[in-house]
Amino acid sequence: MTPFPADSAGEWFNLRSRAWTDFPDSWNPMLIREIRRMLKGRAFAITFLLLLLSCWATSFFLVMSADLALDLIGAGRQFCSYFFVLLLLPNCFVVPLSMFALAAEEHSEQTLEVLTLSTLRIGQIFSGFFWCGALHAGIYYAAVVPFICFSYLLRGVALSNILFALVIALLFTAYMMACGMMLGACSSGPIRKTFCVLVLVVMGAFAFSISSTMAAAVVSTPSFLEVLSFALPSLVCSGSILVTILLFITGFGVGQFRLFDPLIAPYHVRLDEKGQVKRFSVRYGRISVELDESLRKEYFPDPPPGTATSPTPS
Amino acid sequence: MTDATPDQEKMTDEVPASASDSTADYPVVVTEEINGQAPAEGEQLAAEEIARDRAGEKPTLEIRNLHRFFGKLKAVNNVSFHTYAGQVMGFIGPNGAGKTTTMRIIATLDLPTAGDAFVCGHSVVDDPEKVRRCLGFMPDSFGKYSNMDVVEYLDFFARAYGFKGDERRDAIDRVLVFTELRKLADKPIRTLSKGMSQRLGLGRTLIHDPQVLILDEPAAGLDPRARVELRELIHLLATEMNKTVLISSHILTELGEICDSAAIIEAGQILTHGTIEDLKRHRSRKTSASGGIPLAVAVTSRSTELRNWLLEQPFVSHVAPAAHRIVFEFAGDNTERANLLKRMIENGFAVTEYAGKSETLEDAFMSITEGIVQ
Ligand SMILES: Nc1ncnc2c1ncn2[C@@H]1O[C@H](COP(=O)(O)OP(=O)(O)OP(=O)(O)O)[C@@H](O)[C@H]1O
Ligand SMILES: [Mg+2]
Repeated sequence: MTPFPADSAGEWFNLRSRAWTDFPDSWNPMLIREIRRMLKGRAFAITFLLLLLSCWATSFFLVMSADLALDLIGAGRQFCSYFFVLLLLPNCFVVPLSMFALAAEEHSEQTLEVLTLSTLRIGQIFSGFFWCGALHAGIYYAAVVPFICFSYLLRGVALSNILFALVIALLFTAYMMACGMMLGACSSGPIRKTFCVLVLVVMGAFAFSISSTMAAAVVSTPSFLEVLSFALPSLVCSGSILVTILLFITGFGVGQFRLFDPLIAPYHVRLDEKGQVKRFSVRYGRISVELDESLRKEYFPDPPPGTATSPTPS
Repeated sequence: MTDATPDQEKMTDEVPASASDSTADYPVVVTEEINGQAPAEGEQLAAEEIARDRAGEKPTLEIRNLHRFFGKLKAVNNVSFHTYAGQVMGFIGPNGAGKTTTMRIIATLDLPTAGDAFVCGHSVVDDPEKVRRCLGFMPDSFGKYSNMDVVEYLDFFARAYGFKGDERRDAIDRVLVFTELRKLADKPIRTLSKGMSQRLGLGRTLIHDPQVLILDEPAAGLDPRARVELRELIHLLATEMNKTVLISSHILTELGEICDSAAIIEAGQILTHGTIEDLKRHRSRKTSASGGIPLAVAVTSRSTELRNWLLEQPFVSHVAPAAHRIVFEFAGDNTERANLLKRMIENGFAVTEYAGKSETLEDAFMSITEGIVQ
């Protein structure tokens, strides 16, 4: 390595004392980047406060309207299902949309190419996004879970049911996070981006209605066995459809992040020892095919006479 | 070159030996054809002179018969050139000539339809990973994340390149010092001026200390001062740090002072390739082929009359009108040139200047390119 010219000026702030050096090297660089940006941005703080406010408002409204003395059990169930709805709302829309924005930004800001040139691997980029979303969602969970505990104290819902509903919420959150990330990865142009946002919102609405219905049913069914008998089959059913959709999006999104447009397969012409065109090869998957004469003629017509290659006496 | 095919090895031997006939009609294509015919005999061009001077040294950046087609559009059509460590090479061409496309292929962001490019001996097609390790690419527009400081931006890329601990801090430190951005280390990058963000872009490109730098129009949109400062940085990179720099630009006069060599590309084809001096000479040769050298004459008054008078004189052609300074082409020898001045004065023209018009790179560019749009 060639040394850079030495520092000439004397005064220079101490890099090692800065807070940003505190993140450990083992952390995903994408995650560190996003944490720093999140801490500086206002958007996240605003949605978080909104969520907290709506939780307070809901509990206040419920306490005022419900006749706690007469029907404590019913009130507990009602509280619990409302809080699950409040929990699922940001996790089906806000978190996936913010992950969508993260992934889409790499396209729109043309930073993806620069990232591709670094030693970051595509798996690291996606897992960085994912941890970011997980952090985001985790904070929403931290805000709502105390309210769910409060509804448990009203003794309407068994702990096993609440835990099962939480598992359902977590599954759908993770699913929507993956969808947001992958749809963002697909949106490598303004038209595609608009289309992908629409798809994400529709999927969010779909996931939200399924998950909130399921969570509400789980917390309002007293017997856990009964819960399992209806919740498991419906989870498997909806899950298999949703995961299939996700797999499609993932295939396309990962392809886009590899700078590989599946519609324009890159190919490469190889020359043999005589300089003749021999075969095409595709980097992705390394397929190679013989190039026939007609293709060769189309792409490399014989040079017109009188070009630089024709020998002329000096 | 671990898995170099026999044709690649063959071509390595051929490149320094190949020569082109520059006395033929322009444009001269200083490249080998795809079907690999024997190179032509003829006048040696500067590219070959450089190659001979550096006998035994391998080029750090070498482009061989590069093609990139977008459907029927031949964005890059048989481009070949090479350059060595410590050299700055200009890549000049009008809009849409294929500069960015070529640079993206060198940077492993795109694949060539045919041909290959070698960075530090690694093929961009076969070894993109190795190429990325020794190459820094600065696109013409690079992304700026919102809510991020200069130092955080560099820290992110240092981490992305796998630097750890003190090594990472030293890399950031080094880049901040080199680009003189340390005073702005805490500034959000969205608020940087164009000149400063170009510096940051250059700093980002340098974070892993690459041997070869590809800069796509780094001076675009900069004021004269920022341009001179950028030029100095690039000069330092080549001379002090022995890096190879390929720089594309429209600002030709700037390139003249900074580059050791240049390639002019139009409609996907290299029109000429050589040292800056050579490109200027190229223009002179062309002029002499069409009948004369350019001369300029300035008078205090009666310039229209002088122009009409000049048109009647022997050896004079292509008289261009201008307010007080008339440029024309003169095909005669020096005696004739002195006689022309004598006659001019005898005819009562008050001549204040009578000189050969100096060749600029701009002239060379205008005469070599033809304004082809594809
Ligand atoms: N992805 C693409 N698909 C189709 N055509 C393309 C693509 N990229 C570039 N081109 C075409 O290839 C040609 C060369 O483009 P390129 O961007 O390399 O030019 P350039 O020399 O960099 O021009 P400029 O000076 O304007 O930056 C242009 O005609 C352009 O339209
Ligand atoms: Mg360009």
